[in-house]
Amino acid sequence: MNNDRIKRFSLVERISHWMHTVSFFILVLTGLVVLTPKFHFLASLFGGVQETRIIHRVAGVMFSFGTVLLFMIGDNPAFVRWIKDITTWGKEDVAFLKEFPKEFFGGHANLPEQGRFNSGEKVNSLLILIDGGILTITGFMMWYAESIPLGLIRWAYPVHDLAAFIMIAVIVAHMYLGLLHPGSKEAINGMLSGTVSRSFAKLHHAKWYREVTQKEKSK
Amino acid sequence: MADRMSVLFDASKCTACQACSIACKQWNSLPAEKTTLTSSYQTHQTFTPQTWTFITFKEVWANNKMEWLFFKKQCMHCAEAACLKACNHDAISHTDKGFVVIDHEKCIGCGYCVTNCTFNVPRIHPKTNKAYKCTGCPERVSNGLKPACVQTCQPEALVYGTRDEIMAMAKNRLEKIKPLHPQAVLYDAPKLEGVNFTYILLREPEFYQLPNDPAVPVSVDIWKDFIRPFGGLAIAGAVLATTVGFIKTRGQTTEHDYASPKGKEVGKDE
Repeated sequence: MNNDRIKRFSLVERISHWMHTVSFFILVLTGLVVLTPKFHFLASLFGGVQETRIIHRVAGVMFSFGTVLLFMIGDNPAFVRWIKDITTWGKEDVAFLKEFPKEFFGGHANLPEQGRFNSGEKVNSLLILIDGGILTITGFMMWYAESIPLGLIRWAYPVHDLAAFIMIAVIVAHMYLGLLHPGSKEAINGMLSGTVSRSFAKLHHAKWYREVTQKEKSK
Repeated sequence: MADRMSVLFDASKCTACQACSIACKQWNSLPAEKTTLTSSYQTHQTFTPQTWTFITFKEVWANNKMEWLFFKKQCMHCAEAACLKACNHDAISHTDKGFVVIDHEKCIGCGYCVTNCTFNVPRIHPKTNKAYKCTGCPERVSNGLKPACVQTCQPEALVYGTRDEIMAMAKNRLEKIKPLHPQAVLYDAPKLEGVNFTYILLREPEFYQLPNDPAVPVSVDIWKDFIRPFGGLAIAGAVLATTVGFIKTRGQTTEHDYASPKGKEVGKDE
């Protein structure tokens, strides 16, 4: 680690994130074809409507089991730490979330110190995990519709739709914050090269920065 | 629909000759299908992509009498059709006579109509990937002919006419048969704004495994009337919020006021 950057995400974390991203975009594009005839033209990207439906399912498996298993098995310590992080909540998180809209819309916010993941990132992770889980379950229900009781399968459609809309809305905000928002766009480097600038880490994840630099000093 | 036509199936006249099944196959060039021999005359247990109508046989011993009840199954051609509402591709519509038809140019075989149909009628063909069901014989009807099944029915258990004629006829017939069949009912489905295939049943609907007060499944209504528009709004909202955020943060650096117990240094721009 050189002097002005600090390691944020391992190779496995990054690969699994981008695998998730790619499969997500494929799912959205293929999903749009089935959603409404207005997007039927997208089917030609995939070679036809039936091919689109098959690709949607393949991408679905990649999106759910593929990325989760890769992360869980490929970098289990990081996976466990991630789950711990996103399920640990305190007063500071409430304070952060209350102040965050000011930050989002260009005002000056009074944000408490954050750990490796700030409160917003924790919310994002939880939403993706839960919403993604719902999409996966309802998706597999529709895939095997003939084996599911009618009363149950009929609810899979509206729930899958709702979860998909929510996921897209969340990802719009997620991409914006990672790529364009001045306060946070350094974060994308964490997912590309695996490192972020020390000044970014000091500012945005002070608690985590202290833990990491203490470990560095003790080596 | 002034021109709305209907078919009446009168269970008190049906002899279960099954000529209607055959007429449907012949008119629509559908092949016969291999079925399993059971202890009943009933040849088909369920719809298939190539069997759009069949007769069910139910034997009942009641009041020291043997009753053999017949029922013709096919698409009910609901005025409020759940399949139509569930279809994402505008492939299902009503003809001007009120029959529900699937446009196979548009159908992508997603199967949403199959699972959401109130009566579980349409079926997807595994090779063509399209949904199939009784069409109401639009090419016959638009040329002034009766649907094939109605045309062939010898005991006149099937009658075709305008909706008003059919409903009046049904009510009259019901009165007439009440002495012999006191439990007879007219099955019409008010929640679906009526079905174009109306029935005089000799017993209550549950006996024929028909839903008692059929309606479009609640999930379909919630799905199309609430979740879809809400979802669109949610995404539009996210796009709007990020656009506003983008505009309002132009010219900003990463400077923020992060609280820090070590003093203001950590919180300032570097």
